[in-house]
Amino acid sequence: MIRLKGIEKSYPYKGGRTWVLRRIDLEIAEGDFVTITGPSGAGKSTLLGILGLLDGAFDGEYWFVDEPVHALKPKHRNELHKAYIGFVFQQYHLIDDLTVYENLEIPLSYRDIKKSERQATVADILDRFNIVGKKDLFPNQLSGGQQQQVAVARAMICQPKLILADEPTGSLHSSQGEKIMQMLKTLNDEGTTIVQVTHDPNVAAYGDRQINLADGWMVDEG
Amino acid sequence: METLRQDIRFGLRALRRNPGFTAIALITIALGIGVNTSIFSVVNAVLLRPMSYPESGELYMLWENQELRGGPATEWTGRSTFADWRDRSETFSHMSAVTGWAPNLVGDDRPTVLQGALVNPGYFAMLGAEPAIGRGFSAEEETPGNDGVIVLGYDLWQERFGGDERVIGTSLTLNGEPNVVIGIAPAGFQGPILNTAQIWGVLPIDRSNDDRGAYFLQVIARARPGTATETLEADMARVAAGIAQENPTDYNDVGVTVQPLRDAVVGPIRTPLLVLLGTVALVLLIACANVANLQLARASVRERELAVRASLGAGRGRIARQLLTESVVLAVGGGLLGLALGVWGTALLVQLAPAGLPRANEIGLDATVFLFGLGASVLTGLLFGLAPALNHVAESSAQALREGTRGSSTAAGGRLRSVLVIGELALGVTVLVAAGLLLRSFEEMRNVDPGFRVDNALSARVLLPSVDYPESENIPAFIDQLEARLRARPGVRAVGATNVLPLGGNVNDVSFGIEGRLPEPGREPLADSWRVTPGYFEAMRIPLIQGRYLEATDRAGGLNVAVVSRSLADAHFEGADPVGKRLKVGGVRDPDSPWWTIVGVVETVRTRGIATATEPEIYVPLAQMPSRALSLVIHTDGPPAGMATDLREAVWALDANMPVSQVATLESVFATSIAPQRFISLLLGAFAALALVLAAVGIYGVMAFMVSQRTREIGVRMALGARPNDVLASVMSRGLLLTGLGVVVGLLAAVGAGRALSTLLFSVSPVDPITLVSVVTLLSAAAMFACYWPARRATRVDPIITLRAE
Ligand SMILES: Nc1ncnc2c1ncn2[C@@H]1O[C@H](COP(=O)(O)OP(=O)(O)OP(=O)(O)O)[C@@H](O)[C@H]1O
Ligand SMILES: [Mg+2]
Repeated sequence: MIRLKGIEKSYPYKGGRTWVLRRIDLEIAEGDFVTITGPSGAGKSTLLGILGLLDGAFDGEYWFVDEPVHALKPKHRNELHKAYIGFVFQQYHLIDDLTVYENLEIPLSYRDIKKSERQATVADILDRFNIVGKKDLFPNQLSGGQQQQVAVARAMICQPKLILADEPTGSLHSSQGEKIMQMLKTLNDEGTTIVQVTHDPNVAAYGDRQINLADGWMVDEG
Repeated sequence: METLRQDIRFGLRALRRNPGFTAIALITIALGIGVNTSIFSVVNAVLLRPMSYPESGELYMLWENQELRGGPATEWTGRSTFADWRDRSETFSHMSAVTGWAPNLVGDDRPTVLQGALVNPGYFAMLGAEPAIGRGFSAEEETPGNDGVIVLGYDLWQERFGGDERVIGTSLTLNGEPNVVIGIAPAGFQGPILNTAQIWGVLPIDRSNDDRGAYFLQVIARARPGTATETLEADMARVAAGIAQENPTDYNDVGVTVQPLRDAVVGPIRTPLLVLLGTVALVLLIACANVANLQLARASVRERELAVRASLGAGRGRIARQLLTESVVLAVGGGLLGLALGVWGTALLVQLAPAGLPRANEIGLDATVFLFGLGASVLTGLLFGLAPALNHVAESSAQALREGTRGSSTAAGGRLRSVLVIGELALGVTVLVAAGLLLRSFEEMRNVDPGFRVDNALSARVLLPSVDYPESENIPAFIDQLEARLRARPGVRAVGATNVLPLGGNVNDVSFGIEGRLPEPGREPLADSWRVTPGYFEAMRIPLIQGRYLEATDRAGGLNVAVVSRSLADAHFEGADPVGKRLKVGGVRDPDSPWWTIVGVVETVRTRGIATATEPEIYVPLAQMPSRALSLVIHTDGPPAGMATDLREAVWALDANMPVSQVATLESVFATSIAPQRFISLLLGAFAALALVLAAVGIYGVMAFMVSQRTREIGVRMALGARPNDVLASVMSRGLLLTGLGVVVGLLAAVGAGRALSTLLFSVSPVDPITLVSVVTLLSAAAMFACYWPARRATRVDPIITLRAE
């Protein structure tokens, strides 16, 4: 599903460049559950952004479902993203002015799904995450953990083939975190490919592959 | 005091740190204050300041009140009535009639016509303007025969006589007659009416000649100190009753209107000026809203800084005061710039103002205007500073400090910003509608058919003084000769002459009576009357409706004939054919007054002004009722301006001493007649353009700020699958919503504004649909255009920004 060849990412810095990702080669097959770990600033979020087709400014080759992402126009890249990917951001990025229900509905509405169908899907996911009671609250009325739950739910709602999650359990109680991981595991068992970033060894253990980043380099793969 | 100084210092520093913001805010305020200062300086000089005469509150104008006869409340009067008023009233210390006078001064070079006025003895004393050199008119000089004396205006004295004092006592030839210079008016002196006069002569009063029913004098009077207006009115009512008793047939039901001089002089210009002042006040409010919005945007960017200040112990009031001080510093800065702009704007206004704007010479910046500008600035600053200050007080600083919950506090600011923009757009609609209505009125006026054609026509005024043309029978002969000469010139199609040119501001109205249906005494209808040569109708191209025009065979001694207007025929013949009927013009009941036989009916001509209803009109042949002052009209093949030299040559070939004045195309006569409306519509149009730009800048600012605030959210949406068009639509729809609300509120306000304007409108309804639709379209288009750029910027947001933490 994913094939990276010599991916590099840099930012201009003090007249020169500062490197964030160096020569990343990586393959991820459909159905994989990959965990990316590494110290803060190692480039994990950056890599996830590239994998998630949000960031097209990189060097090297990236093949996604046999499409050359490195050669695609942004428009085409966005369409691929829309068709395949659900993303959980490190900072949740819920929209402040929208209720929980409306936040969950956004990805569906951008995919031109009928109102009745949207209602059913949102109701279903609220139920699965056990947050029906919170559906009319605004993000700033939720705890950090609850916000993260909504962010994960939002990433899943379109039943993407690939879920990318940046610290999906970062601010959750271990019990809540476990529930989320269980849910991701179930999705993975049903065939969804999952790539997550985490610091937590317990959470990392859900994956069946682990990739370690340090200073932008892939140091080992296990 | 110490904290205030500190606040001002912080304020200045904050403004210096944000040069872009500061510049835009300063320009906006300066424009707002500038237009307000300019208009206020006019309002101040014309409407507010007492007139520049000493004890000017004692000055009044007196008019014949003809309301009981179905006439106007402020009719002019004649010599007999004026003399009775003056002699019999007990509450006035001075009274003088004033009438226009255009003496022809023959000197070394070409004869020139001066602008002057005839007044009565005591005129200068009444206005507290005793001549600088020499003396004013004495009572004896009012007697016919003694009236060959003049007072020169200071400027005329300087220009023509080099300021030589020896001119006193010398004799000047005016209209061919000698006149002794007895005085020089003080420098800068202007009469309250006929304010362009630069030479004054005496209006002779002949008590033996009764001219009641003639209306060619305006009367100015000074009340005895401390007399109430009611007392004056009672006094004049008594005088009028006495006159009516002695003249039961031609003076019954005529009263006297006593009007404060200032009201009389500036009355007609009051509403337009107040409308202009109201408009610029709205423009200032729009500017205010704009700056308030900028301030709000800046405050929300500074939220962290303010929250930190608060956490360090600054009370809410303290911070609000700091913000307010900053605003006032900004406003005063902008206000000073605005005052400078205002000085320039005022000069421009005076220059562009149509001739005859009363008190135009008094317009300028004085302490009042300066204080007004400064006061308006400070008020503006408080007004636009209040929004961010209150907004800050309202929100909890704890919230601002909490990580990750940006938004809730900015939401309140956002709402306030939206309200401001809606208000701004609404004000914009109001100003645009007001301007639109006046511009449409002006357009309608321009399109009114005056009853004659103004293209390819030139007019000029000539005067035949009685010294050179003692017998009035000589006049038609001279005019015949002159017309023949002009007609012989190449490019001339028709030539005619009239005693009064329509739309020139003068009218000759006379009472008339139709044979067999004379009304009861005192109820005679009035008509505008002309004495014209046969060629006049062709030169003016006034269409013939029935019968015939006047012809060269209608001569003195022959059958007295007249041509009447369609308006007279409609009002007084009810469908019957007027041709062949007879009427008397003036002296309706005088058995000696001749009958005039109607030979034709012509189209009605707008005499008094394009916007004024027409009266019945009567034309009689110049040959049968000569006039010494005449306007020539030449209809040409092509552009008429080139004919001016031909015209002068032709006149001077016949009489080298004859002055030719007021040479102008009929098009420009027409344009001058609507110049005041044009001036006001143009000013309003300019203010409306300013309002439109400010409103567009306002909505642009709000949308741009909203987009920058929502960058992250837009990034999230893009990451969740939003297409650029979705983003564009979401931003634009928000702009559209604001615009829509603004337009709706504005239309409601505009209906009210239209009502206030109604007296200035001409055949346009205060809720004229064309204006309303155009304004809504224009403003919406401008708003959409202003929203489009921020919306475009929003579509370019890169979703990867969502990956970045704060
Ligand atoms: N726009 C940018 N300009 C310059 N440098 C950047 C930019 N965005 C990220 N970086 C740098 O890239 C590096 C990797 O950032 P990234 O967010 O991928 O780290 P991370 O591994 O996710 O860290 P964390 O565990 O703290 O989330 C950092 O050193 C960061 O400073
Ligand atoms: Mg990260």
